[in-house]
Amino acid sequence: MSPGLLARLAWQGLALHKLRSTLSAIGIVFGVAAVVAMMSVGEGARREVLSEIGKLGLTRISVRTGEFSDEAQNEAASIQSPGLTLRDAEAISEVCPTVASLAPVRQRSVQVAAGQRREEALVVATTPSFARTEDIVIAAGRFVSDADLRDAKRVVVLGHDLSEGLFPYQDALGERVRLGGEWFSVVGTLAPRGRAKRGLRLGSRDIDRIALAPLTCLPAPGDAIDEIAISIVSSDEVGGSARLIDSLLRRRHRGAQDFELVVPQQLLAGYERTRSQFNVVVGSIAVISLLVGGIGIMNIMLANVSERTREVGVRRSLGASRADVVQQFLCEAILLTGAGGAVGVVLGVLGSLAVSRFAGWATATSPAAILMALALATATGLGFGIYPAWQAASKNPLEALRHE
Amino acid sequence: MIAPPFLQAVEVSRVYPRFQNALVALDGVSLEVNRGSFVAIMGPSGSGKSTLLNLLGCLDTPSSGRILLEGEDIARLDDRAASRLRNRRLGFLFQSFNLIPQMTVVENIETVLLYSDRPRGEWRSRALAVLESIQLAERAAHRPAELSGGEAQRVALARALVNDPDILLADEPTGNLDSKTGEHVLDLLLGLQDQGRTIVLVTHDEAVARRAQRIVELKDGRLVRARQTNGETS
Repeated sequence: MSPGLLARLAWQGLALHKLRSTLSAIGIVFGVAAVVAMMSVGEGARREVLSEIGKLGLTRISVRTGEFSDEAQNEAASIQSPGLTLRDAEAISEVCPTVASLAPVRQRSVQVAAGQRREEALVVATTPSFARTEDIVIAAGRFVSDADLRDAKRVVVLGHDLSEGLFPYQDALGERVRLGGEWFSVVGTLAPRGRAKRGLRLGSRDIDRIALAPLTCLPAPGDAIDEIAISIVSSDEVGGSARLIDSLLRRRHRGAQDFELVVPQQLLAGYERTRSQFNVVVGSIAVISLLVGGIGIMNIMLANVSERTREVGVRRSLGASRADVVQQFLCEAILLTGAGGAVGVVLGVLGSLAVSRFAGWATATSPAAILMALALATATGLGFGIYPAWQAASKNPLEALRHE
Repeated sequence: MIAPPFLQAVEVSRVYPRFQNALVALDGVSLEVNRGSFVAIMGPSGSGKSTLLNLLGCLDTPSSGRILLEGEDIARLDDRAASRLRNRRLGFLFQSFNLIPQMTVVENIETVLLYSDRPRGEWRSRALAVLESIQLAERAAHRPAELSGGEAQRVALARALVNDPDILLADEPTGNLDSKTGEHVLDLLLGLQDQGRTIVLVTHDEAVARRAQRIVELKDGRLVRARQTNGETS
C-alpha cells in the first residue's frame, strides 16, 4: 500500500473522533514544544558563550588583579604581597617560552570629552604589544608606539563606537580629547569589532568603547598593574603555560591569592561540561514528556481499535492480512504523533521567540533540533502504536465481524 | 480423469472449546458445490449453517476435516495465503451489510482493491463500473448511513463483485430487507449465477432457499438433507 493511501486511510480513521484524536495529540504537542523551546534556548546560550569565549581568544591567558574577599586581601597584606606589578609581567616573559606576546594593562573608567560631547569609556593604558595580544585592527592612523611609551606621550587610540560618539561628523584623527582632566591627541581609531548583547562576566573588554593610551601615561604606585594580557604561541600550549604562569606568580606573591588567571580555553571546557549536563536534563524532560504523551496515544488507539473491531473483521473478510491491519492502525498512531509533533515544533519555535523577545535571552532553533523533535514524536507513535495495532490484527476475523 | 468438485467440504467438524462442555457447531459435514451452481444452506438457528459458510470462506478453521477448492485444501492456509484467497476468489455478502461507515460508497467498494494487485489507476473506474451495473452510480459519493437497506445491500454486493471473484458467499443477505427488496437482491444473485459465478447462500427462509438450484439442510451441526429445488430429494 502506498504511503499516501495509508495516510488517507489513517486520516479517515482518526477523523471519526476529531476531538478525541486532537486531545490525545496534545500531550505530544506540549512535549515537543517544550523540547524545541528548551533546545532553542540552550543553543542560543551556547552560541553566545562561544562567541564571547571566541572573542577572548582560545590562545589567550589573562592575569588579573580583581576584587577578592576580605580574607584574601588581609592575607595578601599580611605577607606583604605587592599585588600584580610590571615585574610580574617581565618575569612571565622571561620564564615562559610559549608566550607569543604579552602586554601589561592599567585601566580606568573615565569620562572622555571632545568639545561639548562626553562619553563614558574605559581607558586602557598599555604597551604596543597589546595590539598583537588582542588582535587589534586599526581603521585609521596608528597604534601606540614604543616612542609614545618611552616619552609618555599624551596620545590615544579610540575604539570605533567611542570615536563615532565623540566625532560623529568629522575625522577623529588629529583631534584632541580630554581623558579625566588631561588632554590627549587622537592618533588612531579602531575597526569595529562587535560584542555579544549581554555580558557573560568573562571579563572581555568592549573594544569598540575603549581609549588606548601608553602605559606610562597612567602611572601607578609600585608599578602596579591591573592585568597582564598574554597570547600563547598555540592553543595546545595554553594549558601548560597557564599552570606555569600560575605557579610562577604564586611563588612571586608568596602564596597570596591576589591575582586571577582567566583561561578562555578552560572556560570553554567548563562550559562544555555544563552544557552536556544541560543536555541530559533536556533529554530527560523530552523522554518523560513523550512517554506521557505516548501513553495517551496508546490509550486512544486502544479505544479506537475496540470501537472499530467490526471494521477490522470486514477488512479481514475483504482480504486484508494481519500485516495490513497492523500497518493501518500503526499509521494512524504515527499520523497522530507526527501531526502533534509538527504543531509542537511550531509552538516551540514561537515559545523560544517569546523567550527571546520578553526575557531578552538569545535563542536559536536549529533544523537538526526540529528534525530530532519530529523524529522523536514519530518514534513515539511507532512505539506506543504497535501494541494497539497488533491487538487489532490478532482479532479473529469471525469474532470481529460479530462484534457489536 | 474426473475433475474434482469446485468447492468441497469433506467430513468437516467445528468444535468450540468451552470450560465444561465443548460446543459442537458442525459434526462431520460433507458438501460438494459445482462451479457455476447456486446452493442454499438452510436450517434453524444454531444448526451450523453460518459456521459452514465461514469455513468455506476461510474466515474460520475446521477442528477436523478438509475444505477443498479445485482439489486443493484451503482449510489450513497461513494468514497471508488465506487473505489473498478471500480477496481474489471469494466475495462475501452479510446480513447487516457491513459497510465501513466513515467511507463513501465508492471508497467502500475500492477497499477490496486496496488489498489486491490491481493497479491504483483502475480502482475508481472498476468501482464505478460495478456500481453502474447495479444502478447505484448516483450514490457513489454517499455515506452508508445515507442509504436505504436495499441500497446498502446492493453496495455490499458491488463490493463483493469488484475484484471479480469465482464464488459468492452470502449469509442471510435478505434477512434485513423487506420482501420486495429481498427479491431484487435474489434476482441480482441469480443474474450473477447466469454469468458463471458460484453462489453459496445461507438462509432460514424456505422461500429464499427455493430460488437456489440445490438446498442443503443442516440440523444440530449435521447435514440432514440435500435436494434439488425441482422437488427431487437426493
